[in-house]
Amino acid sequence: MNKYSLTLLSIFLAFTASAQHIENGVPKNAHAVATINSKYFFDLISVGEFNQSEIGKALLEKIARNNNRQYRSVEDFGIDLDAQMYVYSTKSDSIVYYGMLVPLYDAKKVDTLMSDIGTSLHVQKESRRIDLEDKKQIVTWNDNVLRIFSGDLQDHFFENEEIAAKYGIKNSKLSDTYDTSVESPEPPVTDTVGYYWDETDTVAVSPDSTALTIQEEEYSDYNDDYADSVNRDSIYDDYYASIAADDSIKRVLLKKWLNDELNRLSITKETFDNKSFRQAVNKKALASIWIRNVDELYNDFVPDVYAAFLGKKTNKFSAGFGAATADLVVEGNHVKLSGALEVADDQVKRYHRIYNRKMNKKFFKYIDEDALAYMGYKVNTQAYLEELPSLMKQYYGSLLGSFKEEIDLGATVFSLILDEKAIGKVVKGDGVLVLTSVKEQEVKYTTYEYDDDYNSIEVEKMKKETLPDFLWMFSSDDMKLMKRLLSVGLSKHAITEENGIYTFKNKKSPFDVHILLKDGIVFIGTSFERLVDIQQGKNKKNLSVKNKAVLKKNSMVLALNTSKISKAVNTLDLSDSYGSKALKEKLQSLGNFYFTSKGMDGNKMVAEFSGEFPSTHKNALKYILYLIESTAFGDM
Amino acid sequence: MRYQIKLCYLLLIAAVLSLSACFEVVEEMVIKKDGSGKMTVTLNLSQSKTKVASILLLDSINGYKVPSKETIQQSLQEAVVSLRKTPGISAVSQRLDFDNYIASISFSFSKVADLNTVNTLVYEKLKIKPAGESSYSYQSTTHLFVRNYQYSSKAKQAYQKLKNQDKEIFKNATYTSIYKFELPVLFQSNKNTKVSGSKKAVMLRANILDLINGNKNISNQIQLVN
Repeated sequence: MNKYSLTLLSIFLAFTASAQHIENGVPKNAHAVATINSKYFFDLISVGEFNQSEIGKALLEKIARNNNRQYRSVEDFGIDLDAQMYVYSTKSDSIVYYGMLVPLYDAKKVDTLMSDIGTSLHVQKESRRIDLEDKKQIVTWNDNVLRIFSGDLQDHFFENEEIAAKYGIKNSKLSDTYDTSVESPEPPVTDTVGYYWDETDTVAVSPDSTALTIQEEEYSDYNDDYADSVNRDSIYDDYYASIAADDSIKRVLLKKWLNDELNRLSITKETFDNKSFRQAVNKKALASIWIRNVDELYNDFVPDVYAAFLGKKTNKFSAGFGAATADLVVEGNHVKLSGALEVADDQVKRYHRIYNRKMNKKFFKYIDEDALAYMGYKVNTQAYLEELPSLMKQYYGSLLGSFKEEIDLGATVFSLILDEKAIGKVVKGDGVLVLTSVKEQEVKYTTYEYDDDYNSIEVEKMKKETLPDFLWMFSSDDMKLMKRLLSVGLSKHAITEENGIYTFKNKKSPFDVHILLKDGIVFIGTSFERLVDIQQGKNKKNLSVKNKAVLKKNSMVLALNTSKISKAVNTLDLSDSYGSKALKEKLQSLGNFYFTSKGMDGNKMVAEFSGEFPSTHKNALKYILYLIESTAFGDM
Repeated sequence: MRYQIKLCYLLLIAAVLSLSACFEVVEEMVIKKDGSGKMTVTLNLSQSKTKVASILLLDSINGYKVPSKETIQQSLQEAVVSLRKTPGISAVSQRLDFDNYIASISFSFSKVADLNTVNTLVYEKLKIKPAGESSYSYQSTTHLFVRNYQYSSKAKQAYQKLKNQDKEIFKNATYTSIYKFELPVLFQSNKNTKVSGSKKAVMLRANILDLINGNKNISNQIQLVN
């Protein structure tokens, strides 16, 4: 890691939330904005604690060594640790810009820190600036804020012949050099332009980069070089010289456009006041990210990906998704990562229909609170099957424009063939899969014994294996089909029946699967005894009120009882290659982890991950830091 | 819905994959007085069938692509076809049992030296360089059968490069070789080998890890009664 990266890393790690409203430095056309609330970070772990931590000490030592200066605290970097840092991106048809804004409380300290980098410092009025290494990054700062700025040129922009010609870019291909007869005209320029961008779709606020001109003398040297190389014998030399010349022109363009954009920002002093961002921003989040439009993001890469398969650019992708947000929140010993995705108005109703299903409360008495894991889901099967053709049309119709009619036909046939209502009765759409435990079970295996003359005899032996014990249950309002399937199985001797419990024996499966139909629920499980208990009404489990609520209010739940899983894994005869003993013991002290999704919340699709960490530390962030340190710095 | 089914699969597979695996390789050979004979090589994964069945549901594991049943069947069939074309090799047959995960291949040979051609063919097909030198020979005049295997530390080095999880596979794996003769055995040179009561068969059983590490050698010189 070089000096610059270290310095930037230190800045990145150290930041904090802002009383200075530096979102004013975020351009108003930003399509993605991430925030890091460093005030919140240092509320959870004090500056002193961070400095004393192994990670903090290592960071300070590295910076001190590289800068040949003493740093005792992250406060010595001059960064405002009570402020909010922003990372953003803006784009046009020709370039994507990336910026990071870091609030400062003592710019002089930053002057010192940056001057140690050794690159010449440009001072203009109150603003200082350093161009980093290969000029792909520019760092500017004043007394209040530091901005790290960089950009990536959009390759496809320069593939257009008119634009390439305008900047003197050759776009040479080795195949052209091989085939001297390649004098046939290229495809019409208008087609290419039409495929690559549409003026109405590009971000209007960004400067039209094609309007920028480049001074000829800035790249004439390279063109001269290129012209010389034409006379060389080797076609490879010509090709690589041409590529090098193109790259040189692009480097000059990148530098110019970065400078122009920085100047524009310093003059216009734009304020970022996006309504969607304002509504989405969670002030309690330790970090968050906001994306203006997910369809727009898809459109940046999906057409290219499909072009690779279909051989040509496709129409614009439109799944009907809008803004997306994700927030990381630490509350006491809990960590939550919540995400939300806006859905287009015409889709909202469809998704609400699909997720409109209540969880069968009868499930709860069959779920053990001590289960290793369970997964619950509730969707409306009938609505799902009815809406699926429209959703398919929405997703793929826009993407595979030329197959629109085939997709329409497929969707209609799908609707005609299926009796959605009847299927919705057989499988209502709510169910729970419970991984109750892992238990030792005797399983058969084949091996060989040998007689006195060493003739091998194939024998079956038994061995103990630890196998998962699971129970899957789902609601059904119409069990006629299930019963018919089971009776066919019985008549074909594929299954057996004992007191209303059906057993499916499969030679390839290490365990038998048992089926019970009761009270509008289909039970499928590995334990015959448990199904007998359920049948006789003896199976009353103790699922907590909290877990019942989680299952009731979410359309999808994956709950992991981390400590129980860790204990169960420890009972297996595994070697140390599956993790150190100390780490396994630490994992045993973790609480439950949940991946949940409520489905729709208003016009948004929402999902959340939450994890519970041990109360041995004051908050989850401190525990995570401790876990990282004890793993990386070796007390395991 | 498909997403939910996939999650169910993952949950179950994750629970099963934590189990350790083992397998056995059995090499059985019948050698007649004139040097012709029959060989059967068996790979038995039955002890790990829970794990193998789970792995076959996956696309890849530990970075390795999991072949489909069809691919496995096709590969074995290709091996049969190649063997049939090998000079001196006849009556080739194969057995693939996906209930117990046992694969075996049998063939007759006109002389013991034909096995060396088979060895070369196997290495060529698998595109691997043999880690040690391996050969079979039989002198029909003196009735001396020689199984020669020169250990090379390359096997150990290759094993050391494996990830810990992959090394686990070899932990309880075993190798058994059985050579049967028409004539009784006069003496044999490998102290790890046992001679049957009838003196017409010898057997060697070893942990595959011992072979990889060079702790046991499978070389043997078996002198039959003239």
